[in-house]
Amino acid sequence: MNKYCKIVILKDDIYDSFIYKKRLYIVTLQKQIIPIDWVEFIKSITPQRNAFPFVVSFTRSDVLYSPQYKIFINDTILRNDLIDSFSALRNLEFSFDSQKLSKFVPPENLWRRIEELPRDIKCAFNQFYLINDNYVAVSKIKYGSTKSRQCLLSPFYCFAKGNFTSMEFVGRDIFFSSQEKGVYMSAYVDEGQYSKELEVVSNHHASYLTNNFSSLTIGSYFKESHILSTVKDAKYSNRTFDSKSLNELFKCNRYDLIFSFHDKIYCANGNTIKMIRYTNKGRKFSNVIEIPIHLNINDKPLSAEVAVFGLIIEFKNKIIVFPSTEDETISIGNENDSIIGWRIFPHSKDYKNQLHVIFKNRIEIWSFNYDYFINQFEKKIGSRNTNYNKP
Amino acid sequence: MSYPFDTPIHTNLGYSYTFVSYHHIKSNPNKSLWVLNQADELQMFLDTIIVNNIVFTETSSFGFNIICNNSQLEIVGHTYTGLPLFIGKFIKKNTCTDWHGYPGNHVANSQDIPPDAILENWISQGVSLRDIKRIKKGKQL
Repeated sequence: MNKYCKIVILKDDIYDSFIYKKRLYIVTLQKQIIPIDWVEFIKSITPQRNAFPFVVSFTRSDVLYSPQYKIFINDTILRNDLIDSFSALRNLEFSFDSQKLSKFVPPENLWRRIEELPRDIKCAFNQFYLINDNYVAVSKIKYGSTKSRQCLLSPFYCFAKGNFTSMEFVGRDIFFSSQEKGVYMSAYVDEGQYSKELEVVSNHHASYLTNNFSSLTIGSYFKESHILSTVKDAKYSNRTFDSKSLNELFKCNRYDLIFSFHDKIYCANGNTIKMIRYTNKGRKFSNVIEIPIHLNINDKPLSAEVAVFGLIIEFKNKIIVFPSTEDETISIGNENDSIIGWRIFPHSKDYKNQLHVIFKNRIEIWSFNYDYFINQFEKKIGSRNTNYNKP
Repeated sequence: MSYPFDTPIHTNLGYSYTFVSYHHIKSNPNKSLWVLNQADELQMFLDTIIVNNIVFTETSSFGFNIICNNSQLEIVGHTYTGLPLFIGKFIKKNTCTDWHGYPGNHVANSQDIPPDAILENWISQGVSLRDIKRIKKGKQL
């Protein structure tokens, strides 16, 4: 049985959202970033019954893997109680308008104003990273901080937080590269400061980037997708990569969608999903495993991500969550209520179980809570939670 | 009415426009192909000029346009291999007076992603925010 619950915040003109270190950030079409004190907000709405699973659902996703709480997973009786209390939250929906949230939002002069609607946002190393048309804007995360500096003056498509202290970018120099070639770039953070040097590590076209520990998957939706496996990763600045075509590994068409995170790489088309397990050490790939799911959607997957709680695949008018328990899928959005965007937070410590879905008039924050109870080393759907130890 | 290929014609707005043959007849694997007929292609160009969705650079001028019905973008062309394309892109070099156009591939070529100001115009024309975000990110629609 799927166990999920959600919080709905009613607000028009939401462009994007991000959750990081106890705050939810809402980016509006009016080019503002509104911070919400998420932990205090959750405290204020936590029900008296099932308070613990509620807090785990929305603010402490990985707490059950910490030494003091592991007993909840390992002890059969406690575990069953916990499953029951997560089940009690199932399908719960909490709805709030901006007014009800106002107590948890600082005054407007402390909201951050941005110059343009960003292509992508990340929060990492206590900083905001905004990919704009021609540069990356970096600024400190704190109330009232308005200064941002432009760095990496180059057009980028997307970026990902690297495994340790790096941010990795996919970009293309539109003025110097040839029409068909993309340039993959990696930049390094050294004690909080950006190295101005960009290392070009691949010239495959790419508009999708994720990491498999210290290796990287780059995907194009247009050309072949590749994995750049680290051959030597003792120091990031000395990394060397071995590039392998994922389309060849999957024996798939170059228009099939390839997506990955950490230990698993997936390939989806309108009918099937296939998976390869990847081990960074020794750069090993398992055989191709067919996932026993039949999409039968007759629609092309447009984009997808891998979370610990499962796979999220976006189609034209909806996204579908394939739970790591291999239970029934969850469909979000439809033709009349279309989705503007969505996000997961796979690098996060406290929000790994969340999926944020933005609609025209609201943001839905979904929390999925079934993944704690399955063997992370054996599951086929979703990435392994790295905090999980073998039983 | 059909127009000659690769020869500039004069439009009623005073601009000259060339229908490029390789964007209509499948011949070059690196070139995208219009699904619009010549009259619709020309109208799309003239609409671009009228609403001023034009960017000027030191060497060239670029125009971008879409066809949007009920918030849905219509296909204006496709790649040589058949992937649908939704953006009409029009170019004029500053050294000449002729414009020409082709279906832009925002997934493969970042220079086919319109600048922010034009994307914001498209939001007010009714293009969904989802499509705007995906175009900005170079993702397929």
